[in-house]
Parts: sequence; structure tokens; C-alpha cells
Amino acid sequence: MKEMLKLGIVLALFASISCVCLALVNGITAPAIAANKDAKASAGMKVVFEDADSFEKAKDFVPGDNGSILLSNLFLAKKAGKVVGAVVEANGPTYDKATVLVGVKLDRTMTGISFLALSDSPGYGQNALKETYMNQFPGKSIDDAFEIGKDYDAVSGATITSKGLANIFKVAGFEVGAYLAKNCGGVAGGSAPVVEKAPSVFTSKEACADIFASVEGVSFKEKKGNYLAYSSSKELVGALASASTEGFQDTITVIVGVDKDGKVLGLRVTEAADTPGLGLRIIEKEFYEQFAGKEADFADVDTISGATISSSAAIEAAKKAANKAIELVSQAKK
Amino acid sequence: MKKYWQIFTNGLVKENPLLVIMIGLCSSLAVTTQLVNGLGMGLAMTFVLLMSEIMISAFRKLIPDSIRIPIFIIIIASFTTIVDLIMQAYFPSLSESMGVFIPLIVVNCIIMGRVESFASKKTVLESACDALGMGFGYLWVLCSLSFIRELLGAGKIVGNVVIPEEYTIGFFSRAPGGFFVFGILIAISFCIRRASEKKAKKEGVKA
Repeated sequence: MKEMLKLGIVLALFASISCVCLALVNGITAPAIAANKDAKASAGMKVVFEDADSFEKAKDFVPGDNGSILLSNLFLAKKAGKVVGAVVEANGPTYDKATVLVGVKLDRTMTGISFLALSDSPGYGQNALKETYMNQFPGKSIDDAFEIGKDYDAVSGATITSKGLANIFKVAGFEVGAYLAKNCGGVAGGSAPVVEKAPSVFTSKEACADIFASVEGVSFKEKKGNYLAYSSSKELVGALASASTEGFQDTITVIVGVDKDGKVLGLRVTEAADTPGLGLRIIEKEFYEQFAGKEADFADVDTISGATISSSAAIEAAKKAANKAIELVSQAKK
Repeated sequence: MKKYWQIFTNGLVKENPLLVIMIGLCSSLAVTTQLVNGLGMGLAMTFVLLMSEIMISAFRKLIPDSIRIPIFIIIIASFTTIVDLIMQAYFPSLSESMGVFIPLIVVNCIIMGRVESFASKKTVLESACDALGMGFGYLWVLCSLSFIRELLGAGKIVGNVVIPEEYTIGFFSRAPGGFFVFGILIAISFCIRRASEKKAKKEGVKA
């Protein structure tokens, strides 16, 4: 017992002496190690903000709601101790998605852009990494409209990627500009960018409401998966019906609304999962708005180039739905 | 004085930890893709070895025999951590390229072996000589290993390109190449030893 105690004490003694030594060494080296880490992090940020000599993370940065574009980690860029701008990390959807660093000066010009990640297709979206695209942005004012072909050139064959990226830059630029103006005496200006919502399919309810948006106080009554629309004075104003067909890859479902005379009011897509950029473009406004006011055979609806199968399938579904809706409204009138 | 010199040279050639005793190979083969790494690893190792041997030999009468291994490890680990911290603070690029092999000095059998078989029995001065001998023995083998591997594998000398990339042999920067070069170094060292032994014998006969 006595022997054990002795051994324990000796071991503890050696351990505590070592501890004290290590604590001393750590105390001396810790600042240098921290400085090294900072230097490494700022080396990455220097790429987008050459002028600055140090970067400091802003703890009070709270980005506004920018939909699908997420901003995080705003770093203040300093030169000789004075804030000259900021760098922000932004993540948002392109064809797939991208994470970028965007640097902005106090006078609301962009200093540079660098990619932390871009997962778009090699040979197409990945071409955005090339200098010809990237070099368009440094020096640009963040108050520009970022309009394709006007303020910048898209990467050929990768319009979606280019647009998505420009959108991210715009939102990131605006947020940084706002932060700098509020906290660091940056030039104020510019209005919040309208983030173009990525087109998506409608739910049945949204579709109904959207098609009958012109009728005030409209209400819907469901009838076996289809709907009858009534005005606020309980008068029948039209009907909606949905129909599905097989698209290029997956089922396409549309809702078509007709007024009480059987005239087509509009069409919305409620289900589609074809190729993004091609078949999936049937969910874009440009395509579905064509249907409003057309004859129920939709003979003169333009198909989307490069997506004939998807477009034709959508038109096919539209015909079925329109006929159903016309029948429904004529039954209801009786 | 001659005694100390003998202990020192012992580690350099006759009982070289890598070429003759052949311990501590894992880390030495892993880090020797660049001369700078070999040099850094060798110096770090020499420092830990030297300090640990000095400490352990100084306290050898206070260390109870039954718990000597844990105490050795505490001492070795402390010095390894010190080296690790200093490297991170003042040689960040070196620390990055060596990665986990610096902390792994703790379990390097050269240190454990020398501490157990030498420092725990001998005086401080003898232990220091032994540590320096073993350390420099490790260092020079590491340096030559990494010099050859860097030259043939990457075509560089201390980071400066001397052989165009088309003519380098990538094999040498991988693990098998390390074994290969290492084997050849062992063969050469044995050759030299044999030759010197023969010469010594002949001279002995003559005398």
C-alpha cells in the first residue's frame, strides 16, 4: 500500500512538472501560432482583396433574408489598421451550387472574386472558373444591375451558371455594401436586389389562385380533384382541371383554368422533373404564359427549343385538362 | 574525453539507429520526400532525444524501476509537444508538411530504446553524447535518404528544379521508392564496414 502510494505520488509529480513546462511553452508560442493561422486565412482572402494587409472577422454581421443565397463569415479588410472594405463568403444556387468569396471596397466597387467550391458540370458551368468570366467583375460597382450581355458576358453554354453566379455576386455585394455603410463609413446606396426566385412547380392551390388572380375574392370548391371557381358574390366564374402525361423523364402534371364560357384563362405546371435547363423549362413563366387565351387545342403554342418532348407532353396534358375543365364548367352551369 | 567521443561516434556509424539497429523506420520513410522535411524531422528528433536522455539520466535515481516506462513517456511526450508547438509557431510550413509525424516522435522506438537501454543507466554527460550521436546518426541518414528521393523523385534539390519533370522517377517519392533507397543505403554501409573490418584484420596480422 505504502509502495503504491509512493509510486503514485512520483508519477503525479513528474506529470505535474511536465504540465507546468508545457503550459509555459504554450504561453510563449500560442500568440505566434494564432498569428500563423490568421496569416494563412488572410492569404486566401488577399486573392479577392489585394489592397488589404489584414483581415478581421466581423462578429456582428447579420445578413438579411436573401432566399436561396446564404451569406456567412464577413471579414473586414484592413490596411494599416483602417477598414478599407470587406470580404464575404456567399453560397447560392447556380446550375448546381457555388461558394464564393467576394471582396468589396468602401466605395462600393468589387475588388475580386474567388471560388471556394463550384459543383457545376465540367466543360460547361465549370468554365466560369476561367479568367475571362471572372475578370469581368473586379472594379465593377455593386450597384450595377448585373444584367447578362450588358454588364457582363455569360459563359457560353453555361447561361444558368453565369446568371446564378452573377446573382450571388450581386446579393453578396449588396449585403457587404450595406454593412460597410452602416458600420464602417462606407458609401451608402443601392437598393436591395430582388432575388429572382428559381422557377418551381406550383402547388394546386397556388396554381388556382394564380390563374384566377384577376377575379377579386375568388373562392374554389373542389370536385373530384378538380375545382370550380366562384366570385365573391358566389357566382360561377370558371373551372380548373388537372391532367398528366409522361414527359421526357417523368410525369408532367398541369392545371388549366377556363372561364365560364369555356375560354382558357391559363395554365400552371404542378409536377415536372425533366432535365434542368431543357425539359424543365416548361415550368418557366415564358412557356406557361403562352397558354392563356388560346384555343383549347393549343395548336399555336411554341415548344421550347431543345425540349420538344417535354413541351409536347405539357401541351398534351393541357389539352386533356382544358377539355375536362370545359366539361366541368358546362355541367356546373346547368 | 575519448570515452565520450567513442559514445558519440558509436551512434553515427557503428550503431546507427536506422542503418544498423534498424528502428524508427516508419516515420523516417514517410517524411523523407524532401530534404527540408528530412532535416526538420532529424533536428526535431535529435532535440527530443537529447533533452529526454539528459532529463532521464539526471533523474534516473529518482525514477522507481516499476513505473519507469510511464515516466519516460511523460518526459518524451512533453518534449515532443514542445517541439511541435515551436514548429507550429515559428516554422509553420515545415510543421504542415510533416503533419502527424512530429507528434508521433513520442512513440518513436529510437528514443524509447536509447532511454531504456542507455540513459537510465549512465551519467548525464554520457547520455548527452549518446543522444547527440544517435540523433546525428538519424539526421544524416534521413538527409541523404531525402536528398536522393527528392532528386530522383521530384527532380529538385532543396525545392529548386534541376531535372525536368519528364525525366523524374515518381516511384522514388512513394513509399516503395523509400524502401528501395533505404535498402541501398544499408547495403553501402555494410560494404564499407566489411572493408574497414578486413583492413583492420590485415593490419592486426601485420602487427
